[in-house]
Amino acid sequence: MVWIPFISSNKPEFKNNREARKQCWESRDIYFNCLNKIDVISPLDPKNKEIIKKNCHKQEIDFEDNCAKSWISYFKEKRVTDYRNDLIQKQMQQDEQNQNLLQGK
Amino acid sequence: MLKFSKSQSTVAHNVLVATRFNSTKLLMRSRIVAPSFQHLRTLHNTSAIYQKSHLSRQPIGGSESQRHGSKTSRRFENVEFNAPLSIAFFLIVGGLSYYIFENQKKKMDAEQQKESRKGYGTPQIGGQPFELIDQDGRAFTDKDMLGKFSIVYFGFSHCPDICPDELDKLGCWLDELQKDRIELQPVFVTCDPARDSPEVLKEYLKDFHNSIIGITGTYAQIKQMCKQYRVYFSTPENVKPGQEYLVDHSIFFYLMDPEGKFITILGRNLDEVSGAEKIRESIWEYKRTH
Repeated sequence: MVWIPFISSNKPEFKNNREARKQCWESRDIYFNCLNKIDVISPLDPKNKEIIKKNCHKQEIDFEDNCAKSWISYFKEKRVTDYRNDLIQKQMQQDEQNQNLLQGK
Repeated sequence: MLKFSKSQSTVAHNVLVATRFNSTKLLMRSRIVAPSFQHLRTLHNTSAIYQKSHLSRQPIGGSESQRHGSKTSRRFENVEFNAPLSIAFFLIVGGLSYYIFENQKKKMDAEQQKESRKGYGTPQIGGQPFELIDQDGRAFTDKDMLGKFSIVYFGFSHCPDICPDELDKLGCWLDELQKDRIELQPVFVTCDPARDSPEVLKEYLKDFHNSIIGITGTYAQIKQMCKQYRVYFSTPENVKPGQEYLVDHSIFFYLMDPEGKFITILGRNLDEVSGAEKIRESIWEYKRTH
């Protein structure tokens, strides 16, 4: 018997087509929504592990089942960078408004 | 007899050398003689001679005609100073040189305009020979980019979210441009040749616009192609077979002209409408100036 790594893992192989991608993205959105509710930004941060498992365990499993392995960590990382970019954008807008207010006076 | 002919030739000589003087002498002579009808004719003749000789100055290089008889000299006179002919000659030569000058000027202006339109620092993107294969395993080279506008995109089939979004957008652009009868050859080049075989690409592209051509090749060929288009891409090192990974790559569409040369890039900021608009304008501008 030959041990084949990707068959031995119990996770089914991700079929990369439009249908599968849609399913993956949808379960990702559900999972991230759940994280929003418990104010968790980074799902990769070990200190958030407990609270995620407590509140969004089902959503996390769904998300990880529906997406390709490499995509899971990609989306989790992307959530953090997207959040940071959002924050920077908001900060910049705030600064601009303040500047305008000062110049208006 | 011999003497006479000699004196005759001297007369002819004199006529030539001092035509004016000679004719005045003739005139004087005719004045002395009482005017009769015949003399009047002579007067008329001589005045004709006078007029002619007055007009004819010493021809340039006149010594030549001086050696010959008066007959030859007259023929030269005609060529030498024919007012209508010289005016016509002047007009033709002048007109011709003006035409040539203007033409040349126009050509140079056009060249200069073409040069200025290029702008400074037009990026050297694409336009070089390459040899890859499409999703059916057929060769796809730089020759396949000639004679039509192409839009080139770099991506990979395992791309999680950006590439599928961008390819959907491309499909919208193609449909939109088709309404204006703008034909565009869409080319999807994989940055992940290790996994994206022609078969994988064929399966993957089924989900998108049916005119998209999927391109792959060996790692070296793809690397060369990406270099040509200034596309950054990185495949993680030490990938074990069967291991999943993502490819980092720059995400731009490259609009190429029918000579295979770069026109413009389209970034992610453009949506279904503004992207099609940019392509349409770029192609119209290209057609207007070429």
